[in-house]
This record gives sequence, C-alpha cells and structure tokens, in this order.
Amino acid sequence: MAKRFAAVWCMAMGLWLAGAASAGEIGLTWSSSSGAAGYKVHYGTSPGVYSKTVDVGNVTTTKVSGLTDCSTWYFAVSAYNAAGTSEYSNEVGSWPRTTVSALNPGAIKQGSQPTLSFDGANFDTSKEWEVVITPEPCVPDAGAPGGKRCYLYNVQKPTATCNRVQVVETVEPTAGSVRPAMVGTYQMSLRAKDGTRQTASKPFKVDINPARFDVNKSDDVTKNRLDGKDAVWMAKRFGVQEGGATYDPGFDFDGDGWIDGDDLAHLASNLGGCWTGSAWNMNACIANLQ
Amino acid sequence: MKRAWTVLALAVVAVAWTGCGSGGSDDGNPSDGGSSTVAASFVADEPAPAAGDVTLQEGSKSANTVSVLVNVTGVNDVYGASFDVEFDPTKVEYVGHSAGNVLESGSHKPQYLVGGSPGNGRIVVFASRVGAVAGVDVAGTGTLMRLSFRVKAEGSFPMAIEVPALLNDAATPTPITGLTWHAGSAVGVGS
Repeated sequence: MAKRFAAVWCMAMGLWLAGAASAGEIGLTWSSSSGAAGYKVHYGTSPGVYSKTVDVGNVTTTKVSGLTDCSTWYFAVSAYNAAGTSEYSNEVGSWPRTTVSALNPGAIKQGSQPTLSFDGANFDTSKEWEVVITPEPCVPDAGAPGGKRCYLYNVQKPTATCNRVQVVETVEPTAGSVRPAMVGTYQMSLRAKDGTRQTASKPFKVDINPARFDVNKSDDVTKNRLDGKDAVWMAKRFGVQEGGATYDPGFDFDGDGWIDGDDLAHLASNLGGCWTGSAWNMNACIANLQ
Repeated sequence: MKRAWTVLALAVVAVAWTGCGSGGSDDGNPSDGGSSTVAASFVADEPAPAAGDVTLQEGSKSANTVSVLVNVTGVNDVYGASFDVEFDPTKVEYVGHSAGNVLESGSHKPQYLVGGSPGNGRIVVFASRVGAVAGVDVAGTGTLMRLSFRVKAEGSFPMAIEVPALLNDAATPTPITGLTWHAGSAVGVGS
C-alpha cells in the first residue's frame, strides 16, 4: 500500500535549488504532491547517500543550514502521510550559497589596473565566474566587438578559490587616447557563466585621477603645473561631446563623454598648483618658477 | 625661468604719489573698499602701450581698492590668456576679477578664472573664449579682464607678471609671439 502510494508521488514531485540567505545554506523548492501531510529533506555529501534528514512539515520550500562551505551537498525530498513515506524525489547537488563579504579595493583612480578581490564563501571552483558591473560601463561603438566599448572591464577570466575570486580590472585610460572611466560608484557582483550563481553586489568607486589635469606640457614652466594654458586648451574644446570632431578624451576628466564645466571645475579648483606626485599643491610651485 | 616685467622707474613714481597726498576717486566701482586706511591707485609701467603690448592699467578705484585693467593693444587672433600676477601679500590683497570686453566680442561668453595662492601673493589667471569660435583681432586697445586689489599700506608696491601668454585660436591654442608684457605698481596714499 505504502509503496504504491509512494510511486505516485515520485512521478509528481520535482526538486530544485532555490535562493538562500547566507553562506552555509542551500535553498530548496519542490512541487507539491497531492495527499501529502508533510515532507522530509534528506541530504549528505555523497550522491545518493543521505546522512541527515529533517522533517520540514507541509511546505514546498525550505532552507537547509549548517552546511560545510565549499563542498557539494546532495539533496532529495520525500513526502509522507498516514499511509507511509514516498520514495525520494530526484536528487540535486550544490555548494552552499555563494556570498561576497567584501570587495577590495573598493575605490580606485582612473588609469590603473588593480587586482580586485571578492572575498566570501563558496566560489565554486568548477564554475567559470564573470564580473557584472552596473550601470554598464560601456558606450555604443559600432566598430567595437559587440557594438560597444567599455572603459571598465576585466582583462582576463577571474580566478576562483573557495573563499576568493580575483580579477584584474582595467580602469581606463591606461594607455593612449581612450575615453576615461566615468567617475562614480558602480555595483559589482559575480555571476557563474552557467547562470547558476549570482552574488549580491558590492560598491566600487572610480575616482578621478588628478594627474590627468595637466593637459598642457608644452614648455618647462607649465609642465607639471596647472595654469591658464591648460584651461585655454580645455576651453577650446569646451562643450564637445564624444563623437564630436574636436572631442579629446584627455580633457574629459570625469569620463562622462563631455568636455564641460565639470571638467573645467577640476582645473579651476587646482589652478596654480604644481604636482607633488599625488596632488596639486599651490605651495609646490615656487621651485618651478624661480 | 622667472620673467618679471616691473620697471625700475616705479620707485620714483611711487614716491611722487605718496608725497602728493592724492586720494583716489570715489566712484563706487569697485565698491568693496572695506575700512579704508589708504587711498588706492595703480601706476602702469607702460602708460602709452604700442601694438603688441599687454599692459596693466589703472581702472576704477574706490577708497583702498583699485581695479587693474589687463589691456591688449594691437594683437590679432586672441583666444585666451594665461599669466600669473605676483605681489607683496603684506601690502596688497587680491579682491576679485571681472570681465573685460575683448573676449566678449560677438556677444560671446568667455570664461575667467583666478586661482593660485592669493594669500601668498600670487594669483594664476585664466581668461578664454570657449569652444569652436574664432579669436579676436584687437585693433587699438581692449580690456581682457579686470583684477581688483586692496592696498593695505602706504607706499608703492610693484606687481610682476609671470609666465604670461596670449593664445591664439588654433585647434591647440598656441602662444602668440612678439608680445611685450608690462605690469605696474599698486599705490597706497594716506587718506
């Protein structure tokens, strides 16, 4: 009697992984079986061998916690009622939920290639990971692969260990005359390319690189000094958008695609300063000018 | 390389101003005179500029504040300007700046900026037309911009123009050659 009852259930039940809240957890959901009074979740670290069982009651979704990170856990569900217990459902296996606890560094200046570290848990090393950035740091470009050109991107596949994913991120302009990364805060997350994993995002800030303000290096006096020549050069290109004939990304300090007042303001606030290696300092010019 | 344009004759002029006790006109512009202890004025190094000269000239004055005109004479294709003005910060204080009439030609709206370290006696000046517009041909004399200073003591206090350039309207603006820059002195006379 119980066996026949169970066989019907097995045909009706399907088990899937579902989202879960934190590391050490796996979410499960399954289809209901008619006549079920409740369900049991069976799990263990070997396929088909379930060392643990938990009665979750008459629900069709649950989170199983207390799982060891960075190992594959296998699950099946059975239904029960007064007549007995069904056979196992199909089996699913997974690492516990992937989580990101920190992203370092959280801020970087334009014109660099930092190694970003996503620290957390359960970065399944069997999967290929990719960095997802929002808002998308790209602009349309018919001549570029995919019809867009990005100013914030990773140059190689991320490398994963259980607790860390690292990726070398390019924050333009690293060379040549390319549009700089637009300053501001982005959200970065990791996603498994097979679509099975997506972490929560962490903020990543792109800071302006003040070393780029010195656009005019035409003579020894103005080299390494911000003065009116730099500003006149910028003024000549003022109001030009990327794509315009006179657009020069070297003057687009904030990377917003426009040479505009925001850019000039950066020059203005440092006008008269000399470069110290990290900032423009009004008092650093004396030696240059004597 | 430092390029100062103050002339030696200033000392003589300063004595004359100080000695005659002349007060400045009180025309209300500039109006930021504050509590006056001296009457301010400005004596140009080159009061009669010729073609190719960029000079500092006296503008309006009020109590202890004087407006200094940055004048351009007989120069073509002026798109922008870049220069520093150096002064003794214990005697002279930079107050502010305002537009001239050269760069505004054609109802244009140029940009003016003054930075640097006024408290240390050095301002860095920028004035420029904006965008893809032509430079201005200055026939005769026009005013690039005005700089206002407050004179804090009696005496003549030379100003120097340093690293000066007028730039043309080339795609990458280039310094106009063959120019001569002349500065002047701020003067404070007991009132």
